[in-house]
Amino acid sequence: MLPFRAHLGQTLIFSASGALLLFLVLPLFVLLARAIEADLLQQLTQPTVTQALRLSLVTSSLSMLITAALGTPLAYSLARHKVPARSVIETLLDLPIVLPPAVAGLALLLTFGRRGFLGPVLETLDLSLPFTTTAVIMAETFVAAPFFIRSAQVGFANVSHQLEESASDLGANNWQVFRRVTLPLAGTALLSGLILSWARALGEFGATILFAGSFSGRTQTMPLAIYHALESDLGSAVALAAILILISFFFLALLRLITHGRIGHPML
Amino acid sequence: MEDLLRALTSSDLAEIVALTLRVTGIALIISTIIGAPLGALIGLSKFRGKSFVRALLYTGMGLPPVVVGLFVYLILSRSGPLGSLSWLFTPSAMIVAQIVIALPLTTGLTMTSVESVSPELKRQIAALGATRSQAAWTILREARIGVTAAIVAAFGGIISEVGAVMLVGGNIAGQTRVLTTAIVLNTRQGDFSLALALGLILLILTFIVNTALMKLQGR
Amino acid sequence: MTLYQLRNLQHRYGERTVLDLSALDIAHGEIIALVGPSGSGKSTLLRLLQFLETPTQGSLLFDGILSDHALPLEARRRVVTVFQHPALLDRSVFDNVAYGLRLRGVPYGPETIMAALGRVGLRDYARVRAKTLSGGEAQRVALARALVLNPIALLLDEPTANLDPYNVGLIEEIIRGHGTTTVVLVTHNTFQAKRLADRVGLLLSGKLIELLPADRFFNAPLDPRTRSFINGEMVY
Repeated sequence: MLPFRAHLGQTLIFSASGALLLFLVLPLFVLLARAIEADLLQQLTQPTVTQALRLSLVTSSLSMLITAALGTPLAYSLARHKVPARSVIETLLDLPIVLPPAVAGLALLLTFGRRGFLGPVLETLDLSLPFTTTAVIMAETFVAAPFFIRSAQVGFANVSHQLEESASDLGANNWQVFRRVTLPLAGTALLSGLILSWARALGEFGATILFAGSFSGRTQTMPLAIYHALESDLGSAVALAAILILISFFFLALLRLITHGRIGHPML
Repeated sequence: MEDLLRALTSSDLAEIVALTLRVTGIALIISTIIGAPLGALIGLSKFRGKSFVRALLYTGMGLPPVVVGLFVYLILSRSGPLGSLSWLFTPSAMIVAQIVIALPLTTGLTMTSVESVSPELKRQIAALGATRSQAAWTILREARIGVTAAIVAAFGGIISEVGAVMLVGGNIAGQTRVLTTAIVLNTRQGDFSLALALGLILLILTFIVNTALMKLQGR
Repeated sequence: MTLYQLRNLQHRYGERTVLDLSALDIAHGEIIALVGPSGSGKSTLLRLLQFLETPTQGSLLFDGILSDHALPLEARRRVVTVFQHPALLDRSVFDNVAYGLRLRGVPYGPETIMAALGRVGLRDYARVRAKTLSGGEAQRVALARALVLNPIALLLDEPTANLDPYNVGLIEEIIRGHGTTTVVLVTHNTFQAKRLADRVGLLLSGKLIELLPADRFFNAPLDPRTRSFINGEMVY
């Protein structure tokens, strides 16, 4: 941009960027070296690792299914219809994003726990939620769903009314308009929101450990398993972390692919 | 209610809050000192490999914090490259972990806010006779709201962090117990009133931070 | 007395030649207007005259000094451009006007800044935050910010394109009071060129078609393309 050369500036940028790169990349290499040392592939067959991996995938998938199924109509209504107290609803939806996960877990426990607000009701139904796999799904949904809803709402708001109107002028019914016009046009926003949510759910730690505990095979997801494996078996912790990193990379690449590099992170 | 009051006035709590603010404060200062100028430099310049640096920053922001915690654990563990420091399970380890989590945020968000200064203004600054460093300083000043927002966002992120901090700090009473880890511990021990009191304080802190953030972003 | 002397000057972006001038002289103290359709190279020429870029080829002599490939800060600081969109800093009006002086490290008193603001009729706005100004006020601040530097040349790139007639009138009045400062005015508005300029030139596709004293340019141009441009017949 600026029309003068600055070798000094460039040297500075390169050395500073290099230092940051080293700082961010070195731990990755250390981790990978350890993973190889600990025989990553063999670790992948360890029950702690397979159980945590399976549990994480199952709970986050179910949580995303719920989020998409319930969040899409909500986001659509917020974007399209006159909703009473819209700003209140939007603020409430933003709350879980800014709520510290530990506080979120505590809040879930105080609401759905045995001695919690809804405890008596749940007891008459013979339901016990805390420290179950269902609790994991609830914690993940609570923490991650707002990312999807926000992104989907923006996506729906950006679909032009004219296109939808011309589709209905051409004889499409409401459902057809939504399925054939609105949904595909808002698709990128929906998909990127879902990926961001998914990444958030997979990394969830604080709310899960409080509301669901850390029972191997039942509530011990990958992040929790990493924490607990440190006490006994560093190898499986490293293996799990390597898998989480690979998933993060995959999500990032997917996100950049579907948004053509426009979105790299929800905060940007 | 009485329990809550008792909990709020206990000396344990004051200690926990003090440690939380110290750890997060130091981590924030260091990640700002490194991240803000670096983000500004990256944002101001064009160079080969910039998109790679950008992708790296995004990856850093997207990594599950527990994984960051494990990185720091491995580096600081006795057999790790920095094991001789004996920082593991001390506040220093928690500070390092929070720096690693905050640094991509401060750097990346500063970079985007500097980049979002309009090219027209950049051209005008040059046309008014600014040298390269004068122009850089002016642009950074123009982006000051975005840079502040970056710092505030990083603060909100690391003060709420549980997993990484538990992992490298060990949650030792009086030594490495901060608000988030204390909430986890007290909840698991069934001491809900103390957990609630701690949660309330954490909520107030993050509420202040987030209100400030929204004010800055003009929402 | 020549301020700018351009000879066999070519400027290219990649393969595309955006400017190709065999000769252009700009005299000390004159107001020269350059008209032409968008994309004719007017703004590129201003960037060269402001030393934001160096010409790909040919020579640009500035006040007797050859501007070669080392871009001279000194030369850049003797000239100032006001663009179509007033790019003001997010500071007070006073600080915006003082900005160029501070860059140069020139000592100044508040009365210097206030006098410049007085010239554009905004003395009372010194403490106002620049972001809150209307388009016309902002452009006048941009003009004050340029004038306070007392430049040897003032380059204006469509300075009134987005403004209401009242502000256009004010700004044209300020330009008329340019004193000894050379003014290069780029505009697509032929009437404005007629009102202000001593000489007017037509640029088409990076080439200077002709450059004549204003009355001859409008009343007796040599080139038929000039006539059709003035008459608004040019299809572009």
